[in-house]
Amino acid sequence: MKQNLSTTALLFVLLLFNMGFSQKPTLVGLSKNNLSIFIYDHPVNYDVTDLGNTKDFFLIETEDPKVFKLKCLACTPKDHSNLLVYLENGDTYEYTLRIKENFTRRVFRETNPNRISSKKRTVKDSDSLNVIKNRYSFYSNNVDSETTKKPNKPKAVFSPIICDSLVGTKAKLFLRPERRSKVYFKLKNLVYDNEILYFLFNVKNKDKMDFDVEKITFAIGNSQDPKEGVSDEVKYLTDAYVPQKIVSKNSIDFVVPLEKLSLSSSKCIIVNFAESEGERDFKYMIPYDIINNPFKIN
Amino acid sequence: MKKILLFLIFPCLLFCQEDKLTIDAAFGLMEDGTALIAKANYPLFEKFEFQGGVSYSFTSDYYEVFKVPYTNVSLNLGLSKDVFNSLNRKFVAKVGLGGLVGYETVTIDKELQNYLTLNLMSSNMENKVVYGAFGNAQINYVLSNFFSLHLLANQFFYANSDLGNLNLFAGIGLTFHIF
Repeated sequence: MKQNLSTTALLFVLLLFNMGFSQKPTLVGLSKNNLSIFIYDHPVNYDVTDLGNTKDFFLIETEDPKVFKLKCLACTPKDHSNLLVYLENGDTYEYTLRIKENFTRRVFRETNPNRISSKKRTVKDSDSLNVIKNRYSFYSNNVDSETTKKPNKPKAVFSPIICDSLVGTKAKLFLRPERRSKVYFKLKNLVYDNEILYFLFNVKNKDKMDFDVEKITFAIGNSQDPKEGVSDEVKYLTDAYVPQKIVSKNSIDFVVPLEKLSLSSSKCIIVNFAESEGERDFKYMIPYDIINNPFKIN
Repeated sequence: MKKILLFLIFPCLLFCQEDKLTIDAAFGLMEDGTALIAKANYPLFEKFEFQGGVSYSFTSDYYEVFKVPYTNVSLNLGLSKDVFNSLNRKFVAKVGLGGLVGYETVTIDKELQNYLTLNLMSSNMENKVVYGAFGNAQINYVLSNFFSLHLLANQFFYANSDLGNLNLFAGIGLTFHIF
C-alpha cells in the first residue's frame, strides 16, 4: 500500500513537471487487482472509454473540471482500448490504450494522443456532449438502452482503431471513380468486421479551389436506374471521420462505418457526397456484389 | 459546333447520360502480318457498350508461289457486352460483335506482274471496298484511374475479299478512360 502511494505521489510530481512544458494532455494509468486509475494533467470535462471487445464503456461528465481527474475502472486485459478526452479548453483528444497481459503497476501504455478537434466549447453548451455521443453513437445508444430496457441483441459497435488503421492503406477495390471538374471520388476499400461495414473512400482534389464538404449520405437505389429512384436512406454510425475540407491539390482518405447490410441483385448503394458551397456534388454507385462481398480485416 | 461534331463521331451521345468513354489502342499480330486497332467504347445501358473504331492491317497472301502483300483499312462499328467482372473490378472481360466497311489495297510486285503477262493471265486481285463483320473478345486489367492494359482477340470476316475471308488478330494494348 505504501509502495502504491509513493508511486502515485511520484507520478503526480512528474505530471506537474510535465504540465509546464507540454500542451498535450498526458495520461497515466495505474492498476492493481484489475482496478485502473487514470490521471490527467489537464482539466477534463468528459471522457469516454471502451475496453477492447468487451463492449463495456464508461462515460464521465462533470461541470466542474479539475486539474487532476481520477477515474477508476474495473477492467480485464484486452488488446486495445479507446479513450476520448474532452478538455476544458475545447480540445478533444483520442487515445489508444494497450493493456499489458501481465498486470504491473502501469498497465496502460498510451499512444500519442491524436487531437481530433479544437473547437472552443463551454461546459454549458448543450451540444458538447452530443458531439461525443455522435462520435461514439453506440455509447449513447447503450446509455439509453440501459435506462429503459436491455435489448435482446446487442447493438453493433464500430471500432475507431479499424477506422484509423484503414486510412492510408492500399486500394483493394478498383471501381471507376466519379469525377466532378477535377475532383475524383471513389470507394477504395470495403471491410467487414464484427457486424460493421467500413467504407474507405478516397477524394482527390486536383482543382485549385478547395472542396468544402457539406454531408455524406447513403441510400439504397435501383441498379438499373441508379441516379434516380433512391428509396431507403441508410444511416451511418458516425461521420466524425469525414473531412470538413479537402484542400486543393490534395488527396484524402476517410472511413464511414455502417451497420451490416446486404442487397439483392437489383439494388445498389448510392452515396451522396455534397459540397457545401458549390455544385461539385457526387452521386456514387456501389454495386450489390461489392457490398455483399466485403474484405476481411487482416 | 463542337456538340454537333461529337454527335457525328459518337451518335450514342444523343441517348446517353453522363458516363465514361474509353479509348483503346492495340497492336498485334495477324496471319502473315501485323495490325493496329484503335476504338472508342461508350456505355449505352447496363453492361452494353457501343464500340466504334478503325483497324489498319498490313498482311500478305500467296498467289501460287508469289507473295502478295496487301493492306486493309476498315471502319468497325458494333456492340460489346461485359461478361465478367472480378469482385474487386481489377479484371473485366467483354465480347463484341459488329460490322465493318473497309478498303483493301493490293500490291502486285514486278515479278508477279511479269509472270502474269508472260502466261497471259490476270489475277483477280484488285483494290476495292470490302465489307463484312467482326467479333472480338477483350480482357482489361486496371492499372490506374486512367489507364488499363488489355488483351484483344479480333476475328475479321471480309465477305468480298479476294485475299482470304477470315483474318484473326491477337494483340495487346492500352485503354485510356475519359470520365
